[in-house]
Amino acid sequence: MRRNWRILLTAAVLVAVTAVWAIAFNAIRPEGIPLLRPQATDNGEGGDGKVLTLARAKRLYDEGAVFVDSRSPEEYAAGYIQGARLLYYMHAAQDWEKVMADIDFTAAIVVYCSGEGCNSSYLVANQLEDVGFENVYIFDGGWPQWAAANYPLVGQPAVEPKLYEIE
Amino acid sequence: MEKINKLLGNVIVVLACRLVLGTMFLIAAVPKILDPNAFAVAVDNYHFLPTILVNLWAIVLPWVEVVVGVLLILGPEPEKPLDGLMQAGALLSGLMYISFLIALGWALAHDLDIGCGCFDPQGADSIDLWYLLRDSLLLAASAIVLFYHRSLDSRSNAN
Repeated sequence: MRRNWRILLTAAVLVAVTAVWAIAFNAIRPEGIPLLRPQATDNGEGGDGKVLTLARAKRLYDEGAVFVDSRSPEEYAAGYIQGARLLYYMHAAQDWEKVMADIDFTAAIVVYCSGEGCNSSYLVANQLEDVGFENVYIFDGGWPQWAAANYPLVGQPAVEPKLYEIE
Repeated sequence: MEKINKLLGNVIVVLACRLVLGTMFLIAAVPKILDPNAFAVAVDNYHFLPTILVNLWAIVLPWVEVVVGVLLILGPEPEKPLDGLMQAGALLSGLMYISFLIALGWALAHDLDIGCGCFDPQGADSIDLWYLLRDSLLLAASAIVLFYHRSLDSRSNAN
């Protein structure tokens, strides 16, 4: 019985040591991701750094930031932030050049997906940063928050938008 | 003689289980470590873990797979108090497969059209029953390794 406990304890220690290593490695590597998935709070000006609250996303929108929709073409077709261009995360590595052809590397870029629980905006934002875009932000509230706030959007378009259409 | 044959059979079976499991873990871990964000997306797609825990899982799990894979392949037998190292690896292997089975079952039950994220975090292959079967077999292999080594221990303790 004592042996069973020792195996359990060994397993727990293994996991703990590995977790410390994994977290430390993640912290120093350039491809590292946030330890806890950031949750943007919608309390006006909050939301530090790259992850935007609704208010900060709207301000960047008004200032002419480029909005990038990382959801699937089907979701995009059903409605998107007005002016946003589609860069589906599964195809981002191949498609970014075409989609972002007219965008300066220093331009402010805001990536969004389907709000709480979606992570593809992080993936696309990372990819855009990897290829050289310098000011990439993530709007964590994404499409549902934007739509709920009655901000400019293209919803249920009569004609299915062409992929990568720019409003 | 029969007993020896049985033991030999067991040794080979157990060794095969260890090598298969270990190799699978190492093959599965590398792409996840190379692209943690893609793996986080794959985990998140299940909508099973609370969002806040998704990244932590995506960061830590591949490294646990590496450690368990190396342990199962090398099969170290250190002295006390670390003599349970191999079994701890087999136990963790089993626990991981249980968690994978739960996640796959969840995805199937909710009819989620998502990639497995098992080996290729960006893979778009849909989950089907074959995945459940595969992980069940690998869970059984983990159990074989765990219990074989435990029975060896009780035998050597008896002597």
